[in-house]
Amino acid sequence: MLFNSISFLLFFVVVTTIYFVIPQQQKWKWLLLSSCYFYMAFVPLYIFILGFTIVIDYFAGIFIEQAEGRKRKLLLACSIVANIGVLAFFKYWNFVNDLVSGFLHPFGYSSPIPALSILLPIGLSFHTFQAMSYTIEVYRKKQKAERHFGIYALYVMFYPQLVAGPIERPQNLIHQFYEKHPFDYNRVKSGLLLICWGFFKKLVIADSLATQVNLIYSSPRHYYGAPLLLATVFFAFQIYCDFSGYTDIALGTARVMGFNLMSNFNRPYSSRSVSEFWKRWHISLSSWFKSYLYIPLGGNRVLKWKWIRNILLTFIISGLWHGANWTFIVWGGLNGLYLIVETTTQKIRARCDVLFLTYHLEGLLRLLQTGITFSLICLAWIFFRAETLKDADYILTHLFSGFGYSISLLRTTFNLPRYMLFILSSSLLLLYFVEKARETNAISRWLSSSTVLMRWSVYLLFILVILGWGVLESGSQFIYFQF
Amino acid sequence: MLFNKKQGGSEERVQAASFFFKSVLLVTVVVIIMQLIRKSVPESSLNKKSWMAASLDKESRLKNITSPKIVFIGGSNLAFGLDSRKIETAIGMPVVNMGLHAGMGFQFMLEESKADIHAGDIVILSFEYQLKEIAGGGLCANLIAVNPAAAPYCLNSTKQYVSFFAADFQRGLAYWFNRYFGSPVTIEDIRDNVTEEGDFTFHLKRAHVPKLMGSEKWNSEDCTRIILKINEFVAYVAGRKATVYFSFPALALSQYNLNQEVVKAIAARYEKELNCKTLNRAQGLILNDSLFYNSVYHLNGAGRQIRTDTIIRALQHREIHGCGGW
Repeated sequence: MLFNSISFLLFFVVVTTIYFVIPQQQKWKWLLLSSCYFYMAFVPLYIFILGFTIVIDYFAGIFIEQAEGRKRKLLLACSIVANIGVLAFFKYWNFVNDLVSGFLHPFGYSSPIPALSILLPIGLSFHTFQAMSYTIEVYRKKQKAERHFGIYALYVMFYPQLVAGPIERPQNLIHQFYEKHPFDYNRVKSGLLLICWGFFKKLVIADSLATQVNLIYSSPRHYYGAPLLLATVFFAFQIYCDFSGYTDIALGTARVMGFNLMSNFNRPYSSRSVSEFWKRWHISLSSWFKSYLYIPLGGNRVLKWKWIRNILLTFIISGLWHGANWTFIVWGGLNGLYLIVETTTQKIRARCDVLFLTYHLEGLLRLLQTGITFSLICLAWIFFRAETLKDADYILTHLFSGFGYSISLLRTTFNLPRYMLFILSSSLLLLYFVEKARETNAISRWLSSSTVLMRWSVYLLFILVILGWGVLESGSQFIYFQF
Repeated sequence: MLFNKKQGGSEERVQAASFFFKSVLLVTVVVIIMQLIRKSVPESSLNKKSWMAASLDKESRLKNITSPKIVFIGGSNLAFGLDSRKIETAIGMPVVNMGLHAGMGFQFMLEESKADIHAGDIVILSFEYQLKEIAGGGLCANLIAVNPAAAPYCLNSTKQYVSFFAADFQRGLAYWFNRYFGSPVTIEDIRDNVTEEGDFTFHLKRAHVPKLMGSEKWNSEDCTRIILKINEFVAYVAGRKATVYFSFPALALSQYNLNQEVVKAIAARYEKELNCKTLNRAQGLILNDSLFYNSVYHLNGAGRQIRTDTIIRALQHREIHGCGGW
């Protein structure tokens, strides 16, 4: 069930209404049942895979808590192997098969691994990582093993964040299932506003841009210069609005029912460095990798070559987490490389910064740093979006080919009506101002101090903008659903 | 027992009631505004020469010609890819080409023609490989705007109606924006370039558009539902003493190369599970890209002659394939 579907709207209204009506002790059962239904709306049979990992990790948590010494480690390892095993089977089997085939082919052999025609269970990478974070936290004694099987299952399956995160930590979520969440007018309103904002980002911006991006990226070899460059910039905004739009809907849905999920984005494109970008982009995944991979590997408190290894390994695995394709591995590796270069050139860059500051050009410096960071991130997005490495290579080598002439092709290539250009540019401007204002809660404060007429006009206008300008009928999947 | 006292007391109930009342009010106001904008589009602004308006002539011909006749049902692969007059001359039966747009979905395609199939008719279904069941709201809105009689074929459920309502509101909004902020739109006269039989001809002398060829990777489709619906249609048509055949559409080679597995799987299931015979093998109409105009299904002049001849041969010699095989 996609968030951007009529079925979901109906589901949300029914689930939320009943949630507030039923007694407290029944609420977890209702949420679990609803979450099962939500997940089974995709491929019903895959509920068993989810069930398998839930059972394994539930018992693993209890046994880890009771065990001592080496046994604890062994139990944790078993749980991690089971989780990674499921993920590897569904996500990486055919990728490994292709690798083996490619390796053996020159020697005249074919791969001994049979290719499987399997559909990736939706959101597998997300709920696997969430389940793993539970057992690791229990192992680290930062979380008590959950004895209530239903509550543990709900922790993994809570429908707002089941298929694309945020990847919650048990300390933040499990206790909330025991708490009472009475109907609170202001909280419900604020949750609904967040959902609307998510829909605006997804339907009005991301899906409108997707049409243009798909046009170019599905057959990049027919284009050169400005159309390739603009499609890449469009993709940067598409993926941000798509994923952060999903997150806002998830957070809003949970908030309406009284649950607080962790924030996943913090205006990432305003970052002044790549390291800052990774603190603001997909925060729940970045912090997962930091806590459970990068720091256990030694982090930056090791020899320089080991630190470089740690960074590259973390980012390459993060790339692989996104998809079983070389394009994602290169994307991850490239981001790792950016961080290494950024850290090793810190002193030189600090000297340059001083020059700007001496001449009171801080604004220019900020703009320059943001611009460079955005360009580097866009460059990496090429690998993320391209179908193959060959396509990515073509795009990279033709980004500036015949640039002057190719600018004149923009109009015919994208073929956007003038009013759509107006809508897109004004939507992006609105995105900038609203996201900035959200940092200081300025919008909520302004709305609550406005007159009823003003408030209602804003709500009405906003809903009509979404319904009037949003891409409503494509039912396009969220990009991160495929991971 | 909404929000009983144990659950949070009367204040909670008051808040919930207030929220419910305001939500209903907000939704009502939104729906009223949407309806006003939908209805504000003047009749004179409708493009009566559009692609969708061609359905008026197709439906009228289907109703008015006498049986026995040959009726082609499918998406735009038929509209672009047939020389119906040539088939008419070769077979000696009048032809109606109902092909319009794959986006209309197979439910619309099958329902639209059903009532006008009579004894002795030959119905040839030619569905694109990736076909939805129901029409997109936008296409429905465009079709119903110019051909309101088509509404019952498009709108069979509340979900479809909601989708149509929203899309029609967007059409209204786009009209007002285009009127005041838009650039002059050149309306392509498609309807006047459709033959009496229902074939599109505006594209015949146009150049091949290579960038639109073979670029889309298709997902493997579960065609159980479409097979079920076709078989229901076959049974209905058999009841009217008419015959149904299935004809695989022409497909550009580059697109086939990109999606071989998907195409083969669909074709195999159709050949095995459809309760009607197929006029041609799927692979027989995988044609060179240069024989297409602007989509992997839209044949150009030379391409449509090849396809037309394939169908004529099959009908003349009844080279009709049984089940199974590729």
